[in-house]
Amino acid sequence: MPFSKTRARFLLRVVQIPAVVLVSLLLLLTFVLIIVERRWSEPQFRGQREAFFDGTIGTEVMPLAVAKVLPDMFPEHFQPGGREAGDWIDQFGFIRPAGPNPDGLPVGFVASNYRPQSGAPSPAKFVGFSCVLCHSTRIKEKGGNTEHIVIGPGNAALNLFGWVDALQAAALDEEKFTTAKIAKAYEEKYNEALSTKEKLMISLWLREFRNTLRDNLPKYDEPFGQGRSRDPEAVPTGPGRTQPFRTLVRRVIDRPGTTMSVYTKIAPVYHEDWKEWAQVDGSIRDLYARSSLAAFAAGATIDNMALPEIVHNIRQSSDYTRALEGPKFTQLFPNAAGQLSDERIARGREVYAQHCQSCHGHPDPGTGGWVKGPRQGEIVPLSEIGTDPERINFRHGARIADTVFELFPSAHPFKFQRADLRTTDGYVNGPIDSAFSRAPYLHNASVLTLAELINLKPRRNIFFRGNNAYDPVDAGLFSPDQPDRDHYFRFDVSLRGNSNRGHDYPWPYRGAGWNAAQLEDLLQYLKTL
Amino acid sequence: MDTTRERMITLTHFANAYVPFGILLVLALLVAEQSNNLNLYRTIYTIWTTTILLNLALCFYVFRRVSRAAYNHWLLFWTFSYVAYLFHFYWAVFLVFGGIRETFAGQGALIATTNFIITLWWGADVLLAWLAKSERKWIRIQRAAAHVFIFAAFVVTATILRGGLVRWLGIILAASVGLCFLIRLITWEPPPKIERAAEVNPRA
Repeated sequence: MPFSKTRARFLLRVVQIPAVVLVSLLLLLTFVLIIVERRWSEPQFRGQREAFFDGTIGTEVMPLAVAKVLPDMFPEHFQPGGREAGDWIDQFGFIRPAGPNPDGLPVGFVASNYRPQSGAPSPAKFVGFSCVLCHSTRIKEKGGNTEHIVIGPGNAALNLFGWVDALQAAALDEEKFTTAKIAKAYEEKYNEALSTKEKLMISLWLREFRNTLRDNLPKYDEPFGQGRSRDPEAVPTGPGRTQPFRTLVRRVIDRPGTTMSVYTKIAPVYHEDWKEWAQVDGSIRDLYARSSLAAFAAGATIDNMALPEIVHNIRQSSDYTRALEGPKFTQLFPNAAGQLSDERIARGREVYAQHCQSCHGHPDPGTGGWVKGPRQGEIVPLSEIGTDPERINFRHGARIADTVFELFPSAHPFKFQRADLRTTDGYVNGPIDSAFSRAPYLHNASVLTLAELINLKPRRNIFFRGNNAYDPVDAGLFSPDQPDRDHYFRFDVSLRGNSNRGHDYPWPYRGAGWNAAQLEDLLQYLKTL
Repeated sequence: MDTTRERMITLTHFANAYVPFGILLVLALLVAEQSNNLNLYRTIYTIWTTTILLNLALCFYVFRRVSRAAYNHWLLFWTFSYVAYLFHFYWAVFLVFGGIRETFAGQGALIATTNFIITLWWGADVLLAWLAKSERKWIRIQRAAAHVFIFAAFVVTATILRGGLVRWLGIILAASVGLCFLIRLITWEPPPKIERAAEVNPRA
């Protein structure tokens, strides 16, 4: 059969020319995208305070548009106490900002143009956490009208793990949680349609987030949701606490960590420069290492913690805490402070000097600084201090330090020295400036008041946590005898990880040497720190 | 073969090289959007693209004197693989390492120096290939050396210093170029001898 080369060449051109044109167009569009996407996340370099309050630390969770409507779409998950118990901010212990709040989000929810995990530029805003989310708390006197927002202590009401459980339960609902329904909910609430780029980013995020949750179901089990996210039987972490080592075990060692009960109070971050080794077990030295690992435990990644803006925010936030001072008792409770007696405070100072100063140091009245005690900074072995052992004895504890160290590549901005990380067999003695504001007490938040901590009063074995008011008499959190709308979390010290035993200084309750009068004096003195 | 006379690039030659280059580069840059580290994965995927295109360039280099088409394909793939490599170089040096000094600190002097030599030498040869009017002896020798050096660097890096898919790309590169070379050796025919005509007027 005759073959026409001319026609064959023509046919070839019919394919080649459009192919060349199409490829050229694709290349051009790709280059335009790369140039344009750089501008989506121009880094902002904030000062210390601004970084602490408003700076992303790489913990982006969801698109901003989703954060604004999600609780409304899923009241069954985000209002576990029912509508009458308040909105999700109230029910999970977040802090509502003073002043105008158009996004309706709590303090510490910050928006950025970084995508979760990768930190890649996003055309739509994503919401993550800043340091202030966890490291600020509300202190409201029982029966009082004034609420103080104190920067520095852990948020005693924040039930972050419960909230995460609710979020995961919502995200796994494939019928109700779709881009179309999110867009519809947004439009109904704000009278404004979502843009195409927002819908695109929501779709991409939802698919990725849901796939990750589903892939992890065999390892971590399903979330509870359906009003159970705050139940201690379901999510035992509870208000004011985290499980940082479980996060590390899951993300770094890739193990379920489901048998761990390492509940740790969200740490106060006053005067971080006064501590050489920090975290309750004295395991981390370098301040930036502490902060970067805290960010990592909260959801940041090695990748996004290398981005210039996030590096800057973590460092600036850390620097903010170097000299961060806690409030004085007289500032927050002037009436109660007026009841203190100079004589009793002086006697209490003596008791403190004899029984507490060695480990915790004392204020320097001349400089306003802190005088380090002889045993301050030491690790007190578990066998001596007798507090809850889970933090020290958890499975995989021996491997964590090496594994975490190797996690950071050598050129990473937060690569620390191996010598700055250690495994200990006890808890570190730290300064206790603004002691009254650090409630609840012990590393696992198992003791509600200073009065109970020093064994002036018996430590309660069952109490109820949530949005606890402050008791300035006993210097700590007030708990009713029965649960109610604000005090929903039943804290049982007999459960694993919740022990309130140990640290029986100066004396065990009604034990040998126990002196109620001296303890009253000591309590008065502690309120002045 | 006078290569300058042979450099009459047709649409077919161009499309054969440009279309795969474009598709691979677009994929390399866009697929990285789904990764956990955009810059790192653009660096990785662009070196995959470079390796694939370089593979074709080196194979055509072996046969470049066989025909005009082979020569042009070599030139085009040599050029496009270098362009893809420049994308990789930019992402690696300026976005992943954060600068030239940081690259030397991160990679070590030996590897960084080798990479910079590749970047400069390859680019110089591409320019020569397009701009030089003829392939003089020194150009041929440096070109051969450049090809051998770049081939060796890619094969050693991919097969020894890396793992996963990159190692396989390196193995395929080594095997296919080796095979092409072998075929060329087997099929090579020396040019016919031109016998000198006898002198017409020998001196008496």
